[in-house]
Amino acid sequence: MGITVIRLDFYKMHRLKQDIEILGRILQKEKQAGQLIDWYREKMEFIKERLKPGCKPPDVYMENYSDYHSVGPGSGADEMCALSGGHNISSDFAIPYPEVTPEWVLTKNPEIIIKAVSFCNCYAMTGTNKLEGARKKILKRPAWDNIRAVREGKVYVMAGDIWTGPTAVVGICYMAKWFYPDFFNDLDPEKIHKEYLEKFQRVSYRGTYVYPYNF
Amino acid sequence: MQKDSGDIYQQYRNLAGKKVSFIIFLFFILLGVALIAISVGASSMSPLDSLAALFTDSGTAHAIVWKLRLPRIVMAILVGSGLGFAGTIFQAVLRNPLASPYTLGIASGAGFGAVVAIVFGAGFSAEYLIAGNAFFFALLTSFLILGISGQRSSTTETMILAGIAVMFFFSSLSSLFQYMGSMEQVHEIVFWFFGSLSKAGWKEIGMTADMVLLPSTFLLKLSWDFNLLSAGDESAKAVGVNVKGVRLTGIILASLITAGVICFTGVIGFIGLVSPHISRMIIGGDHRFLLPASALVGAVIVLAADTAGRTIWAPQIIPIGIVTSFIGVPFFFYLLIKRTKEYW
Repeated sequence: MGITVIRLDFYKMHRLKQDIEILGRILQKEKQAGQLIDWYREKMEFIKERLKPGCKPPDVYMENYSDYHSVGPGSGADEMCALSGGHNISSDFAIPYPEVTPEWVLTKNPEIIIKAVSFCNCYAMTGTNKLEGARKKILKRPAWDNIRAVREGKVYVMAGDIWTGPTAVVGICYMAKWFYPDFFNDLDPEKIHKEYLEKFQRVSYRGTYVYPYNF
Repeated sequence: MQKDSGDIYQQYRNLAGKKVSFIIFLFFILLGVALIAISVGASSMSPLDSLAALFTDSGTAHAIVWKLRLPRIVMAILVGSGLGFAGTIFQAVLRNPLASPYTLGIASGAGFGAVVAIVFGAGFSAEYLIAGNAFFFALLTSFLILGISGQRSSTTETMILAGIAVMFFFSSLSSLFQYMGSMEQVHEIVFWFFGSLSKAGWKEIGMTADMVLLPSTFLLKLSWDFNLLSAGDESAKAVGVNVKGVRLTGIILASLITAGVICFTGVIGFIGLVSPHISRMIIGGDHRFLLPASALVGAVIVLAADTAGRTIWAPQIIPIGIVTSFIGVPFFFYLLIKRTKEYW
């Protein structure tokens, strides 16, 4: 039949610009697509510039929605970690969404743990109770009090809304601040999120997306 | 005359002795696999250090062995023995070699319960939302099958057929909800169906242990009734077995065991079907020996599969639900081809 099909990922960070461009062309909204790409590039370059002066990437354990399921190469979250200047401890794995043993995480002794959670709709969520609960569960995992991140309280929970996909840039900003609090004093991820929602999605900013928020 | 009957007693004792030796042999195999399982893992500890860590009471090595490896091993043993035991009961009371928690739809029911919890209202507020749901739906399924088969003069075949129909029904419902779910939810559902022993801590183990050990102890006492059932309903009735009562008790308690096991681990297939067959081929159909033997065979397979699954491709895990079939199927085929006489 000769029907042309286009497949867009929107979760692979390195293809995001291209995906937006193509979608813009299809929908004949090249101008808006261009604006989004510029906005996106500006944020990413800001972070990249700041990271330049030879800082040592912290070891990060990134956990997907399912317990003990990490992210490996080929997943959006692995790219996010690298872009925000972290070292994903499972970045040299063979598959994108591997299951690991708690013992392996303990042995790797990461400095920071980031857990993705999904509560259907964090945009409508008020308060931090649910995210707090998810964090507490990680802190309480058997034997994990031997992990640096748990001992130092550097365990962060991130809503699926800003974990990979077109909004990942917001997640990256949060992660960059968690990894290098001193480098990104002037970076306000919430402001960037607000900008994204109001300018490109045309909805007002609300919801709860990370815990703990304080830097 | 005296001498002859003495011979028969002697022969019986020899035969029973062989069966008991097989069970003792299985026990030592299990112990061996457990020792291997406790000494391998992601950390750089040597096997000897790992064993030595069993006798320490603090430190990282202690935490790894006591809080991570040991619970995993105990859970694997509980899961394997529970499924092996429950499978034997299902096959005995339904007098059908195809009966297992899977072919009866109980696992699909549990899976559906988990899917409901994940897609609608999975939250962290209720600690055991997914497990509780899985447990509830597993039991619901078994009552559904009992209800359906009770409608007509219930033959064991109707129950198996009802079970298979229920299995398809719940699989379709699960697929439907999966189709409606978000990407994150689909992810979680897929992994739940792979099965995992990582999530079980001592608290969950305590609950599973109750649901495996109490019903099995009770069922073991009904061994003679299960033996008589294998001669057919009529013959069993003729010698005074309450066929309906035994069947009902067997199905309900075996469902309880199954539900208690898979609610914390997700779907671990095949054990409930194959452990009874392996044991039956080796020691025959006397349930006094068959039940403990099947439980041990199941425990060995699950523990070996989990240990292999977390070692072969480390640090990635090969999910337990996948490995059990890889280990169990070839062994099962080997026995099927090698067996010399009709065993069922």
